[in-house]
Amino acid sequence: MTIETLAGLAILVVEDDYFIADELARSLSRAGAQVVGPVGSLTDTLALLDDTDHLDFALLDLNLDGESAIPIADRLAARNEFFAFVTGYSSRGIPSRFGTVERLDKPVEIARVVSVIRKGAASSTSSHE
Amino acid sequence: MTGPRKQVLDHRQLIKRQQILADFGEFALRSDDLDEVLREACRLVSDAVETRRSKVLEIQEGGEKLRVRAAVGWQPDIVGLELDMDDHTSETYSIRTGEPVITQDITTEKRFKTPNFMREAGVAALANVPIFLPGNRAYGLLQVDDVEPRDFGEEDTQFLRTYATILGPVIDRLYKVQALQSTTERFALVVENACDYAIFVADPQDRIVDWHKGAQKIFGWTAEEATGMSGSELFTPEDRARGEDRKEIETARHEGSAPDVRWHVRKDGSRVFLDGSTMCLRNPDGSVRGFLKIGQDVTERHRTEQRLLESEALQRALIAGVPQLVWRARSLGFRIWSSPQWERFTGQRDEDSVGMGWLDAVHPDDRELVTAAWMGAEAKGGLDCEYRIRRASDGEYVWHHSRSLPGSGLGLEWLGTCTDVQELKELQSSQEVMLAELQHRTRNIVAVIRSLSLKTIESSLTLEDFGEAFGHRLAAVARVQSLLSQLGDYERITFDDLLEAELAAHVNDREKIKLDGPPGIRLRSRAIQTFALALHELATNAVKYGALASPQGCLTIRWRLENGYDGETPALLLEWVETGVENMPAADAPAQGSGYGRELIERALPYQLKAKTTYEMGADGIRCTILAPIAFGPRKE
Repeated sequence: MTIETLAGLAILVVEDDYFIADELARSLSRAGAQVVGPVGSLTDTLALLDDTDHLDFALLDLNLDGESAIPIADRLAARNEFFAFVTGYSSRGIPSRFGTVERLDKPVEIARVVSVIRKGAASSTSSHE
Repeated sequence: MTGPRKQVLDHRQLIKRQQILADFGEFALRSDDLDEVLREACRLVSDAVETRRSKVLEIQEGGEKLRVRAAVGWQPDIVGLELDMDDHTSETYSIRTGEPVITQDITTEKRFKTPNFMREAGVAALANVPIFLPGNRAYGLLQVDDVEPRDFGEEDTQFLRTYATILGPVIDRLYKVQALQSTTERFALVVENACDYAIFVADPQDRIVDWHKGAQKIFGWTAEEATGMSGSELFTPEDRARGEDRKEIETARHEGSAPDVRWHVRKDGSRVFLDGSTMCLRNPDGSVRGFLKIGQDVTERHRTEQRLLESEALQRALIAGVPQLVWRARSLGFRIWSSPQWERFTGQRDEDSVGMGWLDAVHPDDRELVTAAWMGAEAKGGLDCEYRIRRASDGEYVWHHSRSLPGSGLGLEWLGTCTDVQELKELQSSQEVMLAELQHRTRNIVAVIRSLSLKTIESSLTLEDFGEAFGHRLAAVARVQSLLSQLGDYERITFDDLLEAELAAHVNDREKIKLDGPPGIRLRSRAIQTFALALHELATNAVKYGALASPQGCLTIRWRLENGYDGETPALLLEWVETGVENMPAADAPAQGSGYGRELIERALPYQLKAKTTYEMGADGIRCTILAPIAFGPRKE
């Protein structure tokens, strides 16, 4: 991907699998994003968020080696930051309060990730006006 | 009224009267026709007492009317005429008192009313003599009259009384004959037309003598064929072998009749089920005249009943035998019956589970759910829900799947079952875990292979280079998968197995390798793929550029179980030390290989496995340590 469609956007990648996280981070970087992370565990992510002032978007793997990523979603929602869930074979465990949150099925296609992020980023800009 | 005077009859008249009585008696015995006999009686009595007219009046049923049954000297249409039994008539008086009543001249008769038709017919004198049947039952009157007043003397009265006395039994006998005849006619009619009944008569030796239409229709033999056959031939061979045919005849002989409810054989060999009886017919002297057999063909009904019984028995057996709790309920779960299984499982007696009592056996947390399911069951056309039911034996709540459909009968009734799905649910959840695991592994492999291909492309100069390196890396992935797939439940790959598989793939000459570590350290399956790839890269580099590529090279691999970096978690500590390697590049030089091994060790293992790793380019070879919390502690024996 040569066109920097995500230029200037700070994007958090939360994914417990190194290879997936690595590839996602690389793809986002190639698209011009400033990748935050990747991080693979709940505690690491919450710690990272404490040190991060601003995020444009976050990609959350729902299942972090057996731990739910919902506390991260709650933290992001409290910060009015946009995110999408990256899910395995089922959407079980997503509370109804996040019913409208976008879901990306693994393995994720970067083109889809980009379009979801841009949509989220666009609505975030409009909501800030 | 003057009393009866002594009447003097001449000898001729006496003889004639005697003769008339004898003639009548003879005639009455010869004839079986009551009307004919009564007409003759009238004729003879008129002749005997020398009156023009006489008649017999019969009391009609109900005792309120008299009907002219026979008459002589009257218009024929008088027969059938009915008179009210008026208290004021001489006829009624005569019957009530049982005595003859004589009216010598009706113009001077003050005691009784005379019926109009008699006055109009010019009757002047009349005598009424009551007729009684045996048992003193009043039958009617013999009435003689004359168109001229006459004086019925004592002789006349005595004669008439005698005559009437004879008439009683005669009428009675003819009555019986007539009743018998009508019965016989009826019987014949029934017998001839009763096609659903096999009716036949056998002689005392049980030989068929009389074979009716119904019997032909049911058994198939014509009357000609059946006559002379033994009744036994209609029995099945097995019944004959048991002597049932003889038993039936003997029972009929002793008891008067015997039930005949059994299979019989037809002419064509097929069978027919008859429901009937065998009756013994006796002569007046008590000797056996024969046997009357009547049986209705109820084959279809019998078969249906048998099928019904079988299906009921089957249903009972099914309900008793199914490994489910069965029940019947009205709408909204109002139970009307619970199967023995329910009682055995829950300990609830039938009377405790009916109504809504069964809810007591349901887990308190599930009661709301099942009640709601019942609320919606009618609209959905069925009940389908899962809830926990308390097991009486140990008090455990066991998951059951309850299903029920409304019956089509009157007053909506539901037949339902509860099936134990505890094991299924446990399987399901373990299957979900397995599926999640499988998904994870699959996604992981896909991600690994994608990553491998990208990394390999980055470090390959030519397509041949790529092909070779990628092939080896894929083989390493395949080896791990193969090791994993050979595992049974609860089995784990041990580190020494994994290492052995990896070395065997790369190294033919083991002389340069020192292995130092205990066997049997079990590793977490999820961690193995990445860990194995790291080993693969280390081994590849050792073979290509490191200790195994140098004449003086030596590779030492040490490992042991550690209590992790936090002093608690079991961890594998691995040391990979190469010595005697010639031409080692400087520590800051780019990697000789793809650099992928180093990336795996320095970045992937810490990220994915929370491992602590070191990777040093020493002067005579690389030195690498991995402390990874991916092992299980020692087995507790």
